[in-house]
Amino acid sequence: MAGKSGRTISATPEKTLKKALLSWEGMLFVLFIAVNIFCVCISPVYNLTNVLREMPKYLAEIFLLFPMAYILLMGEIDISVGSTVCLAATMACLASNAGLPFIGVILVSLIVGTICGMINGFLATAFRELPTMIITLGTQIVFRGIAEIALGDGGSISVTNTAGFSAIAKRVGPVPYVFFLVIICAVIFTVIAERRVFGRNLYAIGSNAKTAFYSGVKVNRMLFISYSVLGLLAGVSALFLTSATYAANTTTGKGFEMDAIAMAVFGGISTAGGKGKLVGGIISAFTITCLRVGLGQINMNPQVILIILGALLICAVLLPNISQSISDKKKKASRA
Amino acid sequence: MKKKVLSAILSAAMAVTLLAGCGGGGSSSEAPSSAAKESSAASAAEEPSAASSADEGSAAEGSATESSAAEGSATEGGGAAGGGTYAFVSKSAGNPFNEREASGFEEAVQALGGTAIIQHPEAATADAQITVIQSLISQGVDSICVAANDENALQAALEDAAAAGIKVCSVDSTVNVASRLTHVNQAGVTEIGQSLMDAVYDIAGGEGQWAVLSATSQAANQNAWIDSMKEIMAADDKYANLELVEVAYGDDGPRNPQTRHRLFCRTIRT
Repeated sequence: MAGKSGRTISATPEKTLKKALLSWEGMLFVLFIAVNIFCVCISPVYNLTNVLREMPKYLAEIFLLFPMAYILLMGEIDISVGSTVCLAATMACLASNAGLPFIGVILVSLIVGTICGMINGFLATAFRELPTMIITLGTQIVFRGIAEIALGDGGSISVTNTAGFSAIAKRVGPVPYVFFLVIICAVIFTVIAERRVFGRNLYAIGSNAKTAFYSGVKVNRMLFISYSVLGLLAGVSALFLTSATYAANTTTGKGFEMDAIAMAVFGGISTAGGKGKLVGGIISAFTITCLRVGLGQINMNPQVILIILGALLICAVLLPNISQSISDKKKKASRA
Repeated sequence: MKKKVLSAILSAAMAVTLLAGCGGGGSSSEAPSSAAKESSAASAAEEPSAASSADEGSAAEGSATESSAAEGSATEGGGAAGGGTYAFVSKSAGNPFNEREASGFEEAVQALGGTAIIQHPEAATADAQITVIQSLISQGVDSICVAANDENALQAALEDAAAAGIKVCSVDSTVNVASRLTHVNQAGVTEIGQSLMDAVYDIAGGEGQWAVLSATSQAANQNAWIDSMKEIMAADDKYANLELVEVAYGDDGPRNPQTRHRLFCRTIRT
């Protein structure tokens, strides 16, 4: 609903229950509940305790979703983040085995992640004419290559002193620490995207980067920050991933980038930029996680689960396009 | 596919050996001797990988060790009296050796009146195996038998399982001692080394150059076997005329072994 001027950048649209339910996020939420009901029906052991216990591995990936959503909103992409996770996890394991106190291990992981993110950010801003897909494809290979060299011949390093890692894997009752951290991140990133200038500028850049630039938006600075933050959270993800395995190997974090992108896209965030909400991505992340846990519990073949998720993703990409073209036609008809 | 390629290589090697026999001259004439050398390379290449299928299940199939290892894993997984649920987690889907193990496991568990769950992780990674293991813990299975993709990375998940009262064992590819109750090794290291050396000796006719085509360079079992072969060769004068020219790694891929095979032929001819 644009105002009289027709120029509102989705400032405060009207809020009705009907509209909220009909929005993509509303439908996703309904789907989330439906998935949970479905899982309870098919699996006798699908309950809160078990889901929370199985969740940490997936939660480690959800960290990547938030900054990835920012980058996608700006119409860019980062496919190197899985390798960043691998490199950060490798360095964390090496640091831990070198006898650093756990706070040092945490710092190493976060710093390595951030440096990787900053390298991506620098390349993306310094060579704006290069597609970020290609830049991050390059860094994906480079980061994993460095990690593989660091991992040495065996291709795997295990942590000898597991005290620190097992401490962060602990839980309050049935709820793992990492769950709280994901929720805190989710709130912060959502508030910034929806209520802060930085967030609004993301949409401006994603809709039209040039216009945004000439309107005074610091496009390069925002890109650099977003890539760096993605690197930082890749470091966080690496820590929690290592806390589940006490080891890093050449396959650590493989496919994380695509999982994060899939969650975002399923949540209605367009890879072309400027469209979608972080809330959608978060709901979709939990929907996918619950579905995987539920189908896993009935021992469905993991390959079949992947096929189902892939099919859902295609539907998720198709539906908004179809509904968009329908609403466009309606608008045209009502204007005429 | 791999089976076809390797059986082609093997039959080629056999044909070449026959030719060498027909040559009658033994090592005096150039052509038969080079052929014999080539055949020894090819079969040496074949055999470690046939044995390695016991570990990686990928390089070659159809070795006798497979079925015996499958039996071994089955009996140990079932263990207690029937009625329970016993899970087997393979390295990855489409791993021929693991599939043989899994079917043996299933048969034995069913024979004991239990229920077998066979799960292949979505990728050949420890991460994917952890997902499967966590799910099995939720289901409250009685035991988990795993062919590990990483010796150490499964520790946290398997400790969770042990804490939930699940009996954990590994088969084929081990996990570290803290993670399991028992490990079932498919065959003795020295026995494999000895029989492979015997095979090399027989095929090469006691002298010549030979090479090893293994799976991946990180595979602990294969490396132990190769070391054992080297030790046996060094320890016995019988093998003095055999020369190990190269240890190559096919990295579990169907394409690499072929290129390696060609490379062998080239190296050995020159």
